[in-house]
Amino acid sequence: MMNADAVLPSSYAWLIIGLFSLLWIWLGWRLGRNNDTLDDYMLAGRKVGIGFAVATAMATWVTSNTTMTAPQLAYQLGIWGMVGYSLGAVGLILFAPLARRIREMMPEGYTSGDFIRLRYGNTAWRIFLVISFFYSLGWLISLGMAGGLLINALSGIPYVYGMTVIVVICTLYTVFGGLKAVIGTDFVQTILILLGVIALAVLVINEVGFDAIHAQLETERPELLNLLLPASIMFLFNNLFFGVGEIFHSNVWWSRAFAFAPGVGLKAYALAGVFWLPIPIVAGFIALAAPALGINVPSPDMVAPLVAGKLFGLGGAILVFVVVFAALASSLDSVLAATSDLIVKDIYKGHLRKNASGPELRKAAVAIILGLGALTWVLSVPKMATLGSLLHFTGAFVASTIWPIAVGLLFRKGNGTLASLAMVLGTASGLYAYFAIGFYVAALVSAAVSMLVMLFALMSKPTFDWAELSEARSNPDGEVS
Amino acid sequence: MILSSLAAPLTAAKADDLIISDNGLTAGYATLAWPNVEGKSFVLEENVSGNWRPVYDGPDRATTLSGRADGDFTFRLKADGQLVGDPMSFTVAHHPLSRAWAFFAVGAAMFVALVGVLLRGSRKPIPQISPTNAEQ
Repeated sequence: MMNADAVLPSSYAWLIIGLFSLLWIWLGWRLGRNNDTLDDYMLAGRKVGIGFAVATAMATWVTSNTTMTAPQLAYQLGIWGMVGYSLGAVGLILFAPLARRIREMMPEGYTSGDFIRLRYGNTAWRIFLVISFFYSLGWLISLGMAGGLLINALSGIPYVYGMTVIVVICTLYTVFGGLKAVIGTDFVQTILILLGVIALAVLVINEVGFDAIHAQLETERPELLNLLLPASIMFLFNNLFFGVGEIFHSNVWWSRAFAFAPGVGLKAYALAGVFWLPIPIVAGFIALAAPALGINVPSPDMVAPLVAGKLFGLGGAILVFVVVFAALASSLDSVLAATSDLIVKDIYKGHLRKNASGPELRKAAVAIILGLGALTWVLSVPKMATLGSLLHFTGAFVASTIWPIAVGLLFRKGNGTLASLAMVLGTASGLYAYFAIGFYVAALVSAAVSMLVMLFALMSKPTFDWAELSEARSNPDGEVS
Repeated sequence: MILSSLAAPLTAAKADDLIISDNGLTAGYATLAWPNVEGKSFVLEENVSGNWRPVYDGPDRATTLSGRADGDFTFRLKADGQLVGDPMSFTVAHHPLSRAWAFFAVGAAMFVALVGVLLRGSRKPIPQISPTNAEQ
């Protein structure tokens, strides 16, 4: 989709990309140079403190989807679109007690796959791996696409060039530094995101004003102000469960639960959720100013950068560019690292090379990060859907894991057959709802069907022995056993 | 394979014409695009009570409409001042409110159930499992 309203000269865009790329890669190298063991590389030595823990949880959850899809949903679904998006914070808050439990029950665990395998057996583990890998790939593609769209919207640089640069830079510094680099860069990126989003909101209110925005919407797009817009009402809990599903199942969040020092996870996830809550509302509000400003929106996922560029000219474009670039990088590196962990531990070692040593696994992790980066690039080139529809497509998959994870972590009830059925039937029904009704119900339907299956687990007798989870451990040299 | 199915909404229904590239007509939005129409400047017009009213005027090749109420809508495209093909129409038909509230109720009930399960489960002491304990 071409954009005729680019306000940032391409030379400026390349300069910003170059400077931040150097900063991220330098930080990645510096933070990762003392990684001695696989524990260091994959889990930052398991001693991340509260400050970095809150920052990494928040920065990872403030993705390009928050800064670009939340405005898209405000532009398509109105007030409830952006409020619904902010309910993604509930996932972080509900995961807080589970993070503490995960850290204490599996102090030497590595991945969410570890837990599913030990708790529910091999069949459920393999179904879970397919869901998790598919979700991670969808998230990676959406991040790559967002990078290309952002750069195109603000500077007119062709989509493929911008997307390529983002994917290559994030892959490189993740390779250099492992999770320590990811968490360290997340800290810097969180500060940039928070300051940038606040500055943009203040500028929008000062420059356009609530009255002008409201009046234009009422005339031109009245349903965006309708609090009884049916699709928006359907979307509210869908997005909540999508967020819960993403966080409960994804190794991005489990690897942080394992990496945080003892006692940190509960506070870190709860605080990150509270801090994250207003960000989609602020980002979404920016999109509602588009009609008042007479901005044409060729693709709804480009609305936020277009508004900022139009309103604030060069300075605003640079601000948005930095914020979204930081948000993109903080998530892309996290997903790359966590997905690589899952593949190394659960597929490479779990299925292919059961006797692989620590150094071999570390080499495999590097190769897998590079491979994932390449796969992300290949699948991002065709720009298969808008960010919103791509993202919510994966909701049908991840929401099916909520109940198997919650029940499996908290109770000794339920077995692999029920967990497998819950994930398969939940995903299938969620996909049906996606195509038959709309993207805004896929996760909700998936979670509901999965819950119905897991009710049988909650009604059954407790049979699982928690001691079986002790198999998730590493040797003293950091080698996974 | 599955991801490729997402490409469907972006596929042109008819080449060299005005198409719906992102269809959200049950939610009141749609992106209209004209990716293959020749020209440098385009005007998209909407038929309002028999009169053609400009919706977009400029060099872009798409525009997103949103916040539309139920109804039939008709548009036509001009490229460099010349009409392109026939007008295209679509119908916005929002989901019935009863369906929306049904989904809302399912979501609310499930949310309460999930919080209840988390609270109940979290009250139990966390089993301390370590490799050492397991071997004893």
